[in-house]
Amino acid sequence: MLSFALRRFAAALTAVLLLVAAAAFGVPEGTAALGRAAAGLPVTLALVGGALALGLTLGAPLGLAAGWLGEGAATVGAAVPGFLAAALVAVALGTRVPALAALALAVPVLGEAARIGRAGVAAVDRQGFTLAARGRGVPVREAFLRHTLPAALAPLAGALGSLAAATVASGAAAEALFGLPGTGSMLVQAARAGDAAGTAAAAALLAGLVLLLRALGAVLRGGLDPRARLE
Amino acid sequence: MERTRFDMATESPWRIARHRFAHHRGAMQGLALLMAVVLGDALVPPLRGIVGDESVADALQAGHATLAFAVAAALGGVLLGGVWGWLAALFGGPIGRALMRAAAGLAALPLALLPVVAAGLGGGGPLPFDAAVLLALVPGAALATHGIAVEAGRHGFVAAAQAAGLGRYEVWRRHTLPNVLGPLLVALWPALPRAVLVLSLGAFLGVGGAGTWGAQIGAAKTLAALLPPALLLAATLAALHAIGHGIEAAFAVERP
Repeated sequence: MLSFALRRFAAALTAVLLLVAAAAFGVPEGTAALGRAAAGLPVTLALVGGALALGLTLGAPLGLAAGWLGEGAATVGAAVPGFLAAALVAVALGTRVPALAALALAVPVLGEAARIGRAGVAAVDRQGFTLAARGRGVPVREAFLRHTLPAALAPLAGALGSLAAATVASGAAAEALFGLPGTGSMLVQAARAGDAAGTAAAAALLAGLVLLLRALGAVLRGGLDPRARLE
Repeated sequence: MERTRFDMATESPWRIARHRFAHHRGAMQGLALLMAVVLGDALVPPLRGIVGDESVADALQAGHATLAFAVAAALGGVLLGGVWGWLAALFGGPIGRALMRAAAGLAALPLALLPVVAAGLGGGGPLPFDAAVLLALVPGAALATHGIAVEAGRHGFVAAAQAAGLGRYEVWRRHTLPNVLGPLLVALWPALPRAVLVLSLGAFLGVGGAGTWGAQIGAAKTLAALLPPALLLAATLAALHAIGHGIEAAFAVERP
């Protein structure tokens, strides 16, 4: 497991370093722009991390436990992208509280987590190993916690990368809308101003953040489901 | 009249798929919702006369621009991605693996921000933005097409047709193509809602896509101005996802 985790993070770090080097040396004044963009990373990380944590914490149990409620949440999540939720919150409430931005960004994450959690339980049910455990006399609660839950949560961990990519993209819009000094809002400002160095630097850091979260998701998935380590 | 298993066995796969799609309630509701959004444009002239506020009429009109752009981008992205994935499957070996590793690496990035990056690096103008919306869809389409193309080559009936002496083109036209069209439709349909999403995000951030829902949402300062385009965008995304579920059900494909 440790070597699998190290391999995944090493591959992600290599890609991040390549992206950062391209942004620093491929564009004039790239190094200075990279420093400015890096200063906003903690804000972006807090916003994206908060939205992902909130969405996954609420969405996964919803998908695992409730059939129609999980399907409803998945529909709302697909129909309301993060930037739309952020715009609705900002205009309807007329405030720019950062926690509200994270709350808005959590809406599509919650929906997707509910959908994947629901599909995960259905897939585990079809495979029959929980039934086999019950047949060997394992109590219901233990069979659920030891067999159903890890296998159902593994696809959710695997989806962390795509959820992070969507949240980072919507997060850039939310930062610009709420006036947060993050890397995403710097990307938007640089793009509007035609600042190539600022755009490349912010885009490289945001892409790097997504790649690291994707690696984290892959490692978590490998921990929950050993079959994933063979892929 | 309900169809028996015997009826289903004697009908063509496409007729069965059409029957399943037509009986998928969510897909039919989605289709009706999408038609309402598209045809809502006809209500614009009377609406302008009845309602003092122009935002509803403007949002209905922006629907055409949004959907036309998204359909064009999705078709372009699917075509380019399809060629990429198909070539990777055709070559196989190290070249095929390298092509798919590149597609997977690109698909891992937050590609929804590509139009924003293109606007920043390309110095504005509609061309970099439009091209970036299309290109953001290509890696996903390449991965989807490659999986289906590889799977199609493993079918026993393809080997049987080759063994029967059919030429390569005939095998492809008569056996491979009819059997991959359904799964391809299922795998590539998400490119359309994704195109709407990528376009709307870029337009929302003010780097392109003028006259679309995203631009209207980005410019809205009041709830009355925000709600019409926001609701139409949400309804369209919900409708496209529901139609996607219907297509999956029609071809009996389980989602991961």
